Amino acid sequence: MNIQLQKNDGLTTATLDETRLDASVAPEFKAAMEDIILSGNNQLILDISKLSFMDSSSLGAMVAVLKQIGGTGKMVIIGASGAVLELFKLTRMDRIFTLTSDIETAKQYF
Amino acid sequence: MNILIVDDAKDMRFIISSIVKKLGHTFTEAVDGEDAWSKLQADRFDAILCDWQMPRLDGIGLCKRIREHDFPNYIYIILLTGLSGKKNILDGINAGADGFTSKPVNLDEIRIRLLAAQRVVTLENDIAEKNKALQEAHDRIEKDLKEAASTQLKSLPDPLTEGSIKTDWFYKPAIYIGGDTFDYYKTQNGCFVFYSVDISGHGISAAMLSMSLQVSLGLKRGLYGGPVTRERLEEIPALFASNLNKRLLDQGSAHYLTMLFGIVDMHTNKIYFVQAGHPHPYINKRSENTILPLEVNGFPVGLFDGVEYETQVIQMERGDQFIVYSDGISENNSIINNEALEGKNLTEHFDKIKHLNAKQMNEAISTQWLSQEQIDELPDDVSFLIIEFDDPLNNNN
Repeated sequence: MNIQLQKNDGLTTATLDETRLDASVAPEFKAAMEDIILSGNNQLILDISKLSFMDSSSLGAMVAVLKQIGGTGKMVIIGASGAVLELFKLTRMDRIFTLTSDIETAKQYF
Repeated sequence: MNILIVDDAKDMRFIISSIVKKLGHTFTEAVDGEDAWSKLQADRFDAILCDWQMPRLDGIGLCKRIREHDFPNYIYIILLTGLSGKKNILDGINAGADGFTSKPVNLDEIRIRLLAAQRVVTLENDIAEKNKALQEAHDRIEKDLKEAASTQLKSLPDPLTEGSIKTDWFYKPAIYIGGDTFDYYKTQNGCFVFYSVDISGHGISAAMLSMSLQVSLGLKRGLYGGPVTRERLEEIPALFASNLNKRLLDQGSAHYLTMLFGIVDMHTNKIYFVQAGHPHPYINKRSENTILPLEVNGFPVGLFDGVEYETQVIQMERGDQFIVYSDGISENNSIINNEALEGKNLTEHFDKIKHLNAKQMNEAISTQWLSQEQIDELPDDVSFLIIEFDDPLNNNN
């Protein structure tokens, strides 16, 4: 699972360097994100702009990540588009997650 | 070890066999490669001590023949070599020999070569035994899964023609058993209850949850908040999703699900349904000659506590179709245009088959959209449930 981390002013940007998230890699994604959060990155921007496909298992993993960070931190997702954005809308997860199109807008949520 | 000694010279066979015997092994003698070959068919040998040059079939020829043949155990081959030079050793190794011993033979050297042979033979036998155990375990699991698949398939309802409705479906799990399921039944007061469910993930645990849900979803009390009466049709779908959401969260299940649950009032041909994260259903409107997805969204079941669900109501007419499916189809490219069967492409595919009846439509999906190879190795479960409408029942029914 390729996730690049960049820290700036107490904010962590995690860029997902994958084009597909499906049932076969969802557990790995979840574990990698949990590690990132447990290492103290709880003000998180998750960049998923490279992602062109995501299935329901990965959506479940993303919800688990959101729930983990929820109590003490915050997570904003940037770059959901195409079929990935459709999945967020179809499942109304666009109402649960904070979705923005660019990093400047995302920063305003912190 | 049981050793085959192959040499055309009688005195050499005598010397080698006395050494082998002294080292505590059993042995058989052969006079050349061909003779050795027939003895290999009749008995099991762990190792061969074999001369290089012999009439009929020589040592190299015998090596090659042994390695090409599929013996149940590994046979360790030691070639006796009077010939010197790297070229010969290389030929021997290429032909499949494991070790060499020089002539004239002596006890110490044969002892060392046979020790090496023993080590390899033990290792090979050990691996073969473990492979056999693994193969048996694999076969047993596969057999179990196949039986489970057949049980799961049998639990799905038969195509049905009842009242104002006709149903037909296509169902194919990714690996024997799947997390997709659906069911329907007719109530005594002229209603038709149906659902299509996709448990997140696939495989055994998703399939078990899907089977257990199929049992509990059919039990009307509890999840339905009371009996299915025509007065409650607008209330039931949303309440059902909400109750199931609470139940899954209370159970602390590792899975969640997407679902489309609905009830058809067969007296009016109105569908009351809740869309819980399931793909947008398609509506085939005969009078308008259109087949389009109904873009209603909803929360999946079992992810968040207290989320709200809404019942949607649509009117169907004679000849119309309501098509419910899981998202597994979107992970496949159509064999028609090699593009993913999702979004606009999926709509265009449906548009080409919109004149077909439910049964023909499912056949087209499984034969014109997907190849047999794709169906045999689906990345996710694929299911389609098509409900086709006739005239509504009159009030006397």
